[in-house]
Amino acid sequence: MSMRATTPDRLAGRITGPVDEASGEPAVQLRLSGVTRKFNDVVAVDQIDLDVKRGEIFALLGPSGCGKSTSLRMIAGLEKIDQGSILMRDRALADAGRGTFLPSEKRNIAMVFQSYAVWPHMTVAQNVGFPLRMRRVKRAERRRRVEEILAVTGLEALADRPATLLSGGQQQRVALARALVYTPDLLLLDEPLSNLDAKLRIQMRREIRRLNRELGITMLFVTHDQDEALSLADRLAVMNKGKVEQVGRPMDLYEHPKTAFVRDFLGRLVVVEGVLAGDPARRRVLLGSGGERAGEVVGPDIPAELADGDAVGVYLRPEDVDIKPAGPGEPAPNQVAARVLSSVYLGDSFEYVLDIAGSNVLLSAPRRVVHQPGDAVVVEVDPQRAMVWPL
Amino acid sequence: MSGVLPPVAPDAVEPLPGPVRRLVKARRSSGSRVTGTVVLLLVAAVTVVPITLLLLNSLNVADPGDPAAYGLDNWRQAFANGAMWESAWNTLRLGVPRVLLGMVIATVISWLIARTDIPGGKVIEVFLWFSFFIPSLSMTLGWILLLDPANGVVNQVIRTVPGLGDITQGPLNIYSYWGIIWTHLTATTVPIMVILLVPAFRRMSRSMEEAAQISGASRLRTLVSITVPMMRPAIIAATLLSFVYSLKTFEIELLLGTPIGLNVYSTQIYNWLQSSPPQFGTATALGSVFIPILIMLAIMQRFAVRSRSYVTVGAHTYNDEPIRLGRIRRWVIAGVLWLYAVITVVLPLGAIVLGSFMRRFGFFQLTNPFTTEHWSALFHDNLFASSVRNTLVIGLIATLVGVLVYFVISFVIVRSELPTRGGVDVMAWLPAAVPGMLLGLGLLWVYLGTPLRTVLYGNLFGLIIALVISHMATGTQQLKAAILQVSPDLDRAARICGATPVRAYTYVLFPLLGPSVAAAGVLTFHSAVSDVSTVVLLSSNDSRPLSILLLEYSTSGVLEQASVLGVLISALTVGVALLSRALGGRRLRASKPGRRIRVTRGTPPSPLPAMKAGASSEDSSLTRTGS
Repeated sequence: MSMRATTPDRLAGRITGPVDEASGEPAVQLRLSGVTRKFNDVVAVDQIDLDVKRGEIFALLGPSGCGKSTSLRMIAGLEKIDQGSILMRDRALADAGRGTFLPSEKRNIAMVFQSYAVWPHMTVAQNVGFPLRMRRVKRAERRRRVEEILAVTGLEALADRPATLLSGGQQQRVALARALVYTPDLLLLDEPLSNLDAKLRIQMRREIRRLNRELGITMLFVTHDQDEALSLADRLAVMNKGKVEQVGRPMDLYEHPKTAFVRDFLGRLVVVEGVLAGDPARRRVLLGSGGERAGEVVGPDIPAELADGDAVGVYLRPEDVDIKPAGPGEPAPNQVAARVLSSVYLGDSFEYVLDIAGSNVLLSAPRRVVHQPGDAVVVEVDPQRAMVWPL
Repeated sequence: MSGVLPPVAPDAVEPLPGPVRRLVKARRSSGSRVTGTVVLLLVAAVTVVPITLLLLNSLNVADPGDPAAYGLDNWRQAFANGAMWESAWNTLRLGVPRVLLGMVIATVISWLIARTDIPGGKVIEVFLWFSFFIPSLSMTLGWILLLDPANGVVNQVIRTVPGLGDITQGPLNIYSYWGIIWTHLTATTVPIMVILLVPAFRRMSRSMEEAAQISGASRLRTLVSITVPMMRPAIIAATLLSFVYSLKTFEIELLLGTPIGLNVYSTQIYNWLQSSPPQFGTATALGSVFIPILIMLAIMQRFAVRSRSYVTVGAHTYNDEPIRLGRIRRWVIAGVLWLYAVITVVLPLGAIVLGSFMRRFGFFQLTNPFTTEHWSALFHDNLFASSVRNTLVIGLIATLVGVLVYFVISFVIVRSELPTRGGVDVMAWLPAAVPGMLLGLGLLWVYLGTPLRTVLYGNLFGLIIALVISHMATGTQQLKAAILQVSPDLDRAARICGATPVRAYTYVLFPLLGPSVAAAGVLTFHSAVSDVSTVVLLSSNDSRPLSILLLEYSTSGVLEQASVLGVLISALTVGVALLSRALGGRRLRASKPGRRIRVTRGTPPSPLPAMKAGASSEDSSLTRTGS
C-alpha cells in the first residue's frame, strides 16, 4: 500500500499541472462545448459546456437519468455526440459540426468502469499490461512498467493471480492500475466508490487522491452520491435533466447553491416559512406562517430581487443550528420558538422532531443537553449561514 | 459462465426511476432504422419465407417447379380425404397422453435428482443426457429389436416363462399405439424435460420448502403445495417445449406407425409425397393446417418461459442441503430410477449392438448366430462411403456456417441498439415452432421454385441451409445466453485501453465466449448429423447423409445392417456429446474461482438453453457487470 521509498523517475516531477501563463489558472485539459446527445426523441444531454482543468479531479454529480453517464460515455468515445464538440487540449476528440469522431482507442483516455471490467481470463499482470500490449510496447519495457504501477497501487503480491480470485477492492485497484499504466490524458471513473463498503471507500478515496497528486493525471468521475463527489472532487458540476445546473468547488456548491435543484440535491435542509420585512439595507425575515410568529432572522443574505412583504423560505442546514431550552418571554433575534414532539436516542446524538410554527422538522442535537417531548425550546440560527429563497 | 468474478456488492434491486427507464429504453433502440430493417429482413427471409411459401402453395394446385395455378383443390382434397382427419387425430391422441405422462415422470425424476440425497442421481442425469444425444432413430431400432412381436428379445424371454401357453407372437408389440408412446417417452420426451427441469429445480431456493416445513407441512404436503406450484411455469414451459420437440421426430412414427397404418401428420405428408405420383398439393395443405397450431404452441412456450414471476432464483441456493429421503427409502427409490435408466438407455443400445453382430436378429437358435458380416457388408457398400462423406461435409459446414450465423444474430439481439432487435429475436426463434418435415416441405417449394433449383435441390448446399435454419432457435438461444454473460464493459474497457475493435474481440470477447461457442458448435453438429425429418424430403442419391441411409435400411427391413449404422451414428453423436461435456468441464475449471467449482460440479452443459436464456434480453445487458 505504501509508496516505495524512491519514486520512479517516470512518475516524478508531475506533482502540479502546467499553468496557463496569461491567467495564472491551470490550463484546460478537457473542454466540452454545446455537447448534446439525443436518443430518438429523448434528449439525454442538452447543450452542456464544461472545462476540466489539467491535474484536477472533477466530478459530474446528479440523480439517475440526469445525463452524467451519457456525458462520460461520450467523452470515452462509447457514445456518439449529436451536437457540439469535445476537445482534449487542442485535439478534437469529437466534433459534431465537422463530423470528427475519434474511436475510443485513439483518444488516449483511461476509464475505470463501475463494474471494474477486469478481464476474468487474464491474470492481474496481464490485465494491467494489456494497454501497453495494444501500444506495442516491448515485452521487457512492458514488464518494468507493469511492476512499477503494481507497486504504486499496492498490487505487487497479486501480479500472477487470476483476476477471478480478487476481492472487489482488489479488482478496483487492478482497474486503476490498468488505467494508469499508460499515462492517459484523462482518467474517467464511473461511480468509483459506490461498490465498496464504508471502510474501503475511505481507503480508496485517499488512494485516488494520492494517485492524482503523484501522477498529475486529470480525473473526471460521475456519481449520484454527493458524499463521493464532495469528498473526492476538486471541482464538480451538478447535472439535472441533461443540463449543467452549477459548476464549482464543493464548498461553493454546498454553501452557495445557485439553483433550487442544487440547493435541494446537496445535503439536508430544514425549511421555515416566513415573510420578508424591513428596509432594503437591513432586512429581516419574520418566521411563521399565518398569524403565528415564531421569531425572526436578522441580517441574512437576501437576493436583491425580493421585496418587503414577500413570502420566503429560510433554508437551514441542520448542522448549523443549535437547540436550546427556551428562556422566558419572546425569543431573541435569530432564535426560533419550537416545541419538542418526540426524540430518538441515536447513541452519538439525539434526533428530535420539532414543531416550528406549525410545521414539523427533523433535527439532531448533541447528547450533552437532553430535551423531553413537550419541552419548549428555541432553535438558534446563524444568519450568515441561513439561505433565503422565494417560496 | 455465470459468476466469472466473485460478486462485488449486492446490487440494490430497486425499480429504476422514470427518466432512467425512458433513457434506457430510448438508448436501447437508438440504432439506425435502415440497418435494423435490413437485418430483420435478412433473418426473416430464411425463417419466414419457407413457411409463408408453404401456406401460399397450399393454394397452388400445380407441382413444385411448374407454373403456379391457384385454386382450392388441395384443401378440398385434403379435407375430403379421411387420411387427413385420421392423421390429425392420431397426432393428438399420441401427443397429448405421452406429454402428460412424460411431464409426470420427468418432474419426479428431476426433483429426485436435483433436490434429494438419492445415491447416483448425477449418473442418472448423465444417462438421460446420453439418451437425448442418441438419435431417436437408433433408439427406435433398439426397441424394435427388443419388442418385435415375433423375434423381439424381450418377447422371446417372456415366452420362456412356463404357463403362458404355446404362443409365437407377443405378448408385447412395439408396432402399436403404446409402442410409439413408449419409444417417444424414452427417446425424446422424458430426457428433454429432465435436462430442462433439473437446473430449474436446482435454482429453487431450499428456504421456500423449509419455510413450509417449519409452518407444519409434511414433506409430501410441501412437495404438493409449495414445490410443484412454484415450479409450475418451468414445468409448463418444459412440457410445451418437449411437445414441440417430439413433434419434430417423425422417424419413430414412420418406423412404428406406418406399418400398421397408424399415421401422424408428418408421416402422412411423407407418405403422400412418396406415393406416385407425389401428392404435393394435398401434403402442403395438411402441413399448412399444422403451422398455426405449432406456432401457437411455441408462443405459449415462450410466454411460459418469459413469465418468470416465480421467485425460485436465489443467489446462493446451490449448496443447499438435499432433502433426506430416509436410509432405506433412498436406496429403494434409487433402485427404481436406476432400473428406469438401464431399461430406457442401456437396453435399446445393447440391442442394436447385439443386432449388428447377429446373423439374423433374434434367431439365437441358429448354429452360429453371431457374425461380423453386416459390418463388413456395410463398409463395402458404396452408399455407405458416400453417406459418411456427405454426413461429415454436412455436419462440419453446417456447424461452421450455423455458429457464425447464430453468433451474428445473437450478437445483434443482445448487443446492438437496433430498433428491430426484438423482431430479429422472434424471427430467429421461429424455426423452433416448425417441425423439420414442414420446414423441409417449405424449402422444397423454395428450392424448386427458384432458378437456383439445380444448386439447391438434392444438393448438399440445400441440406446445409435447411439444417442451419432448423437449428437456428436453439443455437441463437444458447449463444444469446453466453453473450449476455459477458458484460459489454469488458470489451469496452479493451477499446479504451487502446485496442481496435478487432483486437478487442480477439483478446477479450472471443476468449471469454470460446467455450460457449464451441459448445454451440457441438450441438449444431449433433443436430445436423442426427436429423432425419428436415433432410428427408430434400436429399437425393447424391446427397444422402448417414441418417437417411439408416432410415432407408430401417424401413426396408434390413435390421441387422441398420443396427450397424445405428451403432455408428450413436457413437458419433455420443462422442460429440462427450466432447461437449469435456468442454463444459474445462470451462468450469477455467472460469470459476476454486471455492465455487463445487456449485456446478459434474452438471453437463444444458443442450437446451432455451429455458434459461429465453427470457428477456433487455433487462440485463445494460446493467450486467463482469461478475
